[in-house]
Amino acid sequence: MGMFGLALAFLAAVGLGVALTKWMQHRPRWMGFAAFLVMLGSIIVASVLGFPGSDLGRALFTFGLVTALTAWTVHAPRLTSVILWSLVASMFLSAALMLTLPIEFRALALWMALAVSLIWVAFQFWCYWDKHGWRVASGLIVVSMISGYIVFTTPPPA
Amino acid sequence: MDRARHLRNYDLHSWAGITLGLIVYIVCFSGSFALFDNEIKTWEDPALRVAVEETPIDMNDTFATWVQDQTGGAEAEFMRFDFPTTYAPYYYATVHWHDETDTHLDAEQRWDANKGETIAIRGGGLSEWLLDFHRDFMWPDMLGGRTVGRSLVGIVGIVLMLAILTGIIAHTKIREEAYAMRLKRSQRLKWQDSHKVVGLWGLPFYIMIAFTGAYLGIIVIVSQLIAGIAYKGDVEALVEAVLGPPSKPAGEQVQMISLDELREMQHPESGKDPYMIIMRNYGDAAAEFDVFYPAASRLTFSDVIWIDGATGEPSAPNPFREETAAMRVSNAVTPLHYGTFGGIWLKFLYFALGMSLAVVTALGSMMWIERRKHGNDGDKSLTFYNRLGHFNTGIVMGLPVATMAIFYLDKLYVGAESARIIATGWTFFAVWALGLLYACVRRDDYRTTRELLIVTGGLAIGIPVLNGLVTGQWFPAYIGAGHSVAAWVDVAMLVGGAMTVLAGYLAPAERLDKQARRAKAAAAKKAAADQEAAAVPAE
Repeated sequence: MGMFGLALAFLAAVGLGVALTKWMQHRPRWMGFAAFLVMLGSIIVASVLGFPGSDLGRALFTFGLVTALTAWTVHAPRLTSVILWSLVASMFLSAALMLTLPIEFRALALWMALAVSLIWVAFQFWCYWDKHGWRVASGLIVVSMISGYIVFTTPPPA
Repeated sequence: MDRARHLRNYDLHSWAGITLGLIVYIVCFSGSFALFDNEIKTWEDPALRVAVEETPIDMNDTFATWVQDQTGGAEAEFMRFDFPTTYAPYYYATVHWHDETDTHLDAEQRWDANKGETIAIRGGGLSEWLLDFHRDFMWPDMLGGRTVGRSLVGIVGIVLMLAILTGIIAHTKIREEAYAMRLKRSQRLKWQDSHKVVGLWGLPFYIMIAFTGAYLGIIVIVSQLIAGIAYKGDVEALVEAVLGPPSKPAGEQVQMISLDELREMQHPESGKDPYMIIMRNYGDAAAEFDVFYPAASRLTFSDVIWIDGATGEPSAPNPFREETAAMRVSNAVTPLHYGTFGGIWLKFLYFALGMSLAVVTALGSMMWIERRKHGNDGDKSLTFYNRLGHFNTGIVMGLPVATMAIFYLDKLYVGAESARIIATGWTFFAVWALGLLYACVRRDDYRTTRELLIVTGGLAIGIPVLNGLVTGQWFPAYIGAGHSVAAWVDVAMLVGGAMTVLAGYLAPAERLDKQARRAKAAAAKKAAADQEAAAVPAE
């Protein structure tokens, strides 16, 4: 699966966790519990896929880390987004743009190196501009996931 | 903009400022001194205070012998040779190679430009500290090394960009606020107006310095991260895709072109002399030299010409060296950030603007605390905000004192040259900590600010005296000499010190709230009335 696939799986797990937790706040308790189980299951699957075999310690550590991150994101979506998700999204988006934009790679790499700080600040600014904190957090996670998928499926430039 | 959004934006502005404002202040303050790295280098090392003759001594044979002695005939991976310049009036060379056990080794040497004698390498100290503390906080290896420090400085640039953006949006009446200075109102209003006026007038510079600083800081970590993502971790593949494949030796030994000849090789367009040469595959038929010239008129750090190391002919065209628009923009970042494209007066302008940014940041954090101490904001106790105020004052006012203190250490240091930089670091942090301790013990931010400003100014005024006493070179006699850079550092310290003492003298010694201001005004009025009454002769 590789480190990159692992990162994507974790992003998916956290994204799913945030969305489900937000959704279950306004649903009957049993649905909320079911959503919680799905979230837990997805994180476990991501951890096990990421560290197959006997590497249980690392899988458990990752499981704890992702769970904590999900909980923190649900609790303080703006803060986590401004500190973490904006950075993750800007990195993944920059990499995806580098691989997909029809410009010579050498020039594009330099342009993206210049642009990444602007993208990062724009995402950070969005965190407090948008009325709904959770929308920003899930938006950034979705941007990261789509960009991650593009990078994962596109071969590196020659 | 609706009120809720305005409040969120304002919150982001103040939290970005208060959480990392002090670090932004440190980076801005240290950066203002880092601008004068070359000048301070000449001031710190008396061996550099010499004028270079019209035609410096030939050095090619000395250099070739030195390389052979150092490497023992092993293939040199990287070599650099500097010609004497105004700021570095000596020849300098460095060589990197691997020995039989594949251990990486390097050596450096400098030679007198007029006599060819070797000059002892001086340990890094004052100038290195000032520059590198700004660039990477001199981040220790045990905590991840300089790359981590540099990335942190880059993040400071990002935070500054965010603070600028939210600051612009928070101030809805920019045109009115750019001229509003209510000097006769409360202390907080004075700070607030100064924060806005200075912030607004310096805005273009602050945007530029934040963007270029963020780029220079995070480029290392971002390029590795993006390489990790786009190239699945293969950083070398990314470097090769952007900069081209590295050249390989041909395995045939040939005579290299003389460095003394290259010294005379002027730039075909600017007519300037080269100042540095980077050599790859030295001694091999595939040797290639990068000849660096001071940038003539373009916004770039250097103009580079690539030549064949054996014949001196221009290298074959290489598509990776063609200057694209992206390359021109990224090459402009460093000169823009350090103000190296417009002479010493531009650097003074950068210094003033850099210091003003430090002041804006410091005022921002002072206002934040003041609002909580004497306003309706904040839910912590007064003691908490008092302590926070002392801490803030100690950090802000301790840094200038610490910066001046390392000038003194540089001249009074008596230990081994290899340990000079460590002694500089210890002195810097010890004096800074003393400043912080003083602010906490004094428990009066107004008086602490005033007193530490006067101490900073006094120390700065003493620097030319110290230089004269230790080196015997007093600036009035030295200022007209062929190499006067160090003397101008003395003059700048004298003027800057006097201005700082004056600022300290004029700074308020206590906080005047509305009642105190009224009482003071009433007392002044009464004194004037008494004086008038005394002047009228009794009938």
